[in-house]
Amino acid sequence: MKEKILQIENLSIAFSVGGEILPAVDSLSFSVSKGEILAIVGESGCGKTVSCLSFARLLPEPPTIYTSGSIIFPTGTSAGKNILSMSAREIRKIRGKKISYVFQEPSVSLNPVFRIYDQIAEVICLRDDEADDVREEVIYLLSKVGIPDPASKMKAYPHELSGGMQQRAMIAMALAGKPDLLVADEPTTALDVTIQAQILELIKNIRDESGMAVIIVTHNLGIVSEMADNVMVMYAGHLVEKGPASDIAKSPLHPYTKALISAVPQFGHEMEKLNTIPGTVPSPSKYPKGCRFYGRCSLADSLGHDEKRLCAENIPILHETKARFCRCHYSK
Amino acid sequence: MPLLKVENITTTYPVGKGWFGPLKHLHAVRDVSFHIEKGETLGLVGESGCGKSSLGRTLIRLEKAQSGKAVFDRTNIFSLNSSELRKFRRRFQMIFQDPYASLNPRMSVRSAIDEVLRVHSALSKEQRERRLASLLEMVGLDPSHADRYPHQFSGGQRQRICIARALAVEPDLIVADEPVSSLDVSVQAQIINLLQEIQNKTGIAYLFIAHDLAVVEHISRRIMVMYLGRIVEIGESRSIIRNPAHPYTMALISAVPAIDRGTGRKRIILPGDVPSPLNPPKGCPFHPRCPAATGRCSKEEPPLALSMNGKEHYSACFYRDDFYGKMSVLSGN
Ligand SMILES: Nc1ncnc2c1ncn2[C@@H]1O[C@H](COP(=O)(O)OP(=O)(O)OP(=O)(O)O)[C@@H](O)[C@H]1O
Ligand SMILES: Nc1ncnc2c1ncn2[C@@H]1O[C@H](COP(=O)(O)OP(=O)(O)OP(=O)(O)O)[C@@H](O)[C@H]1O
Ligand code: SF4
Ligand SMILES: [Mg+2]
Ligand SMILES: [Mg+2]
Repeated sequence: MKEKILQIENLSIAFSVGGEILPAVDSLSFSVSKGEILAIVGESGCGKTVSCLSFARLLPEPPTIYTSGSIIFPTGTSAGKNILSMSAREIRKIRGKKISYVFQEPSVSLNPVFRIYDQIAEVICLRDDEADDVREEVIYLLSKVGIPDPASKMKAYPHELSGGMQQRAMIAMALAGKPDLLVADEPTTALDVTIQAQILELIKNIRDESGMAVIIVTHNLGIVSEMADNVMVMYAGHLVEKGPASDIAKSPLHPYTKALISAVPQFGHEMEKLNTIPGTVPSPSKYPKGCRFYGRCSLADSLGHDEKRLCAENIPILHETKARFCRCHYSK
Repeated sequence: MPLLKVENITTTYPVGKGWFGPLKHLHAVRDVSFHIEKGETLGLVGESGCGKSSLGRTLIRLEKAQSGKAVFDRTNIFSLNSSELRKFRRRFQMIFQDPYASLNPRMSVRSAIDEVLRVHSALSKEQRERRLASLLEMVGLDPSHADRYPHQFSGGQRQRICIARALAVEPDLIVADEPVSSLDVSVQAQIINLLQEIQNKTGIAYLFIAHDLAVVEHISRRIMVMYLGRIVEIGESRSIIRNPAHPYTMALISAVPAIDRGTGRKRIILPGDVPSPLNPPKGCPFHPRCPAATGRCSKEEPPLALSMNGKEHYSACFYRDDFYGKMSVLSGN
C-alpha cells in the first residue's frame, strides 16, 4: 500500500442560500496516495468542483458550510493536519505550493490585468524565493505544455491567448509550484486531442518523476481509462462507485456508471440518437429520501414493488468488494 | 443558396506593439472560405490556437475581418452598420467557449435571458416568463433556480444557461464554441439530442466547434479542419473520419482517447512544436510536423483542392489522394 497523501473522511459540504441549507456533497470518504492518479467523473452539478475546492478551503465561507468530516493533508506524516481546522495562515502555506489547482474555467484563475509571465513567475517565487532563472523556468514550463513561441507568448495578457492556450498557461502555472497534489478540474476540455494527449503525458511524467499525486476531474471517459489508476464516480453529491479505472470501464457496477458509459458517443460508429439517462439530476433542495438515482435508474425500474421500496426509502451504503466500492442496494 | 457563404475571410490581431520595431499582425484566420446550408451542422475542429474561436467571433462581428465577405441570407454581415447589425443579431447567436466569462456575474439567470427576449422578441411579460421556464427545462435546469446568479451554478450548468440564452430568440444560425465540452456525457447526450431535435423542427444551422471528434462526427453533416488559421480539410463527416485526406486530420483521429484500452489503435505522435501564427512556416503550414512531408511541402503552399476520397471532400495537402485506405487506425474498433 502506497503512502497516503490526502484523506477525506465523511466530508459533507452545504451552501446556505436564502435561508435554505443546500447539501452539495454528502458523507464523502476516500483517500489519495503518493503518485496516484485519481479521476472523478459524474453528472454535471454532482459536486466534483465543490469537493475539489474544499481540499484547500477555496470555497467562500459563507455561504459554504462544512457540515461534517475532515480533510487530512498530508496524511501519514506528523505534519498531517485537518485542513478544516487550520488557520488562514497555515492554509496559505499549502495553497498553490503543496496543493495546486487547474480550474475548469481559465477566466477564474488567470488574472486579466497581468501578463502570463508575471502570473507564473509569482508562483515560482512563492515556491522558492531564491529561484534564479525565473525567466528560463517560465519559458521551459510554457514550452512543456506545448505553447508555441513561449518567449513571446509569455508577454501576452490572458485575453490575447486562445481558450486552449489559457488552459495550458494555467497548467504551467500549477506545475510551477511543484505541488505534492495537483487538482485538475477538467484541465484539457478546451484542448484538441493531440495537445490533450501531450499534456496528459506531461502530467504522468511529472507524477513518475516526483511522485506528485493527481486528482483529475473529467467528463471524458477515454481520458479516464488512459490516464487514471483509480476512478471515483459521483452522483448528486454522493460517491456512488470507486475502483480501479480499468475495472470500472470494463465492468461498471452501479446503474448510474453503466448508464454514463452507454451515453458516450462511439467514435467511428454512426448512431441516430445518443443514449441518455431519462430525467434530470434532482436539485439539492429536492433530493429523494432513498437512493439519489432512484427515479432514473433502469435497474430499479425492473424491480418488483417491494424491492423498489428499499431504493425509494433508504440511502444505500457504500459496499466494498475486492477494492471496489458501490452504493447500490441491488448491484454490488 | 447556402444560408451563410464565407469568402476569403482574414482576421488579424495587432500584437507586440513596443518601442522597437513595427506593430506586428498575428493572422488568426487566413483566407478562409466555406459555406453552411440551411439546417446543416458544420463541425469545426483543429489544434488549440488555430483560429476556431476567432473565426466564429469574426462571423458574428465580435472581431473585425481584415478582408473577405460573409453573406448571410443575401446580406453581407461585414457591411452592416451598427443599427442594422443589432436587428440582424437575432438571427445569429453564439455560445461562447468560457461560459463564466460570457455571463454577467451580477445578472440572475432570469434577467440574462429576459434581456435577450425583451430586445429581440415582441413577447409580453407573461409570455417571456413562460418561455424562460420552458427554455430552462429544455436544457435540463430547474426553472425554480431562475433567480440565482452564475456563480451559484456548476460549470456545466452555466454552459446550459448560455445554450438556453442562445436558443431563446430562435436564431437561424448558432456558432457554438465548445458548447458541450464542460458537460458530463449524459447531459452532453441530452443537449446534443436537443440541438438536433430543434434543428429538425426549425431548420436552424450550427457551426459546431469542438475537440471531441466523436461528438463532432455524431452531430455534423460535414466537418472542417483548421490548422494555423487555414482550412486544411473539409468534407462530409463520414468521409473525413473514415478516409481523411490530410496528415493532420489523420494524427487528430489517431489521438482520440479510447475507453477500452489496447484496441490496437496506434497514435500518430506529431514531432516538434506548434508553430507560432506570428511567423507561420513557408509552404504548407503543417510541413514542419508532418510525417508525410517532402521537399516540395516546404516551398509551395498546397491549395485546398478536391480529393478523390469522397464527394465534396477537399484537402490542402499535395498528397491528398495518396492516403486512401491507409487510415487503419480505426480498424481496431
Ligand atoms: N456558491 C454556491 N451557492 C449555491 N450553490 C452552489 C454554489 N456553488 C455550487 N453550488 C451548487 O453545488 C452543486 C455542485 O456544484 P459543482 O460545481 O461541484 O458541480 P460539478 O460536479 O463540478 O459540475 P460540472 O461538471 O457541471 O462542473 C451544484 O448543484 C451547484 O449548483
Ligand atoms: N485578442 C487577441 N489579441 C491577440 N491575439 C489573439 C487574440 N485572440 C486570439 N489571439 C491569438 O489568435 C490565435 C487564434 O486564437 P483562437 O482563440 O481563435 O484559437 P482557437 O482555435 O479557438 O483555440 P482553442 O481551441 O484553444 O480555443 C492564437 O494564436 C491566439 O493567441
Ligand atoms: S502538404 Fe506536405 S506537409 Fe502538408 S500535410 Fe501534406 S504531406 Fe504534410
Ligand atoms: Mg465542475
Ligand atoms: Mg477557442
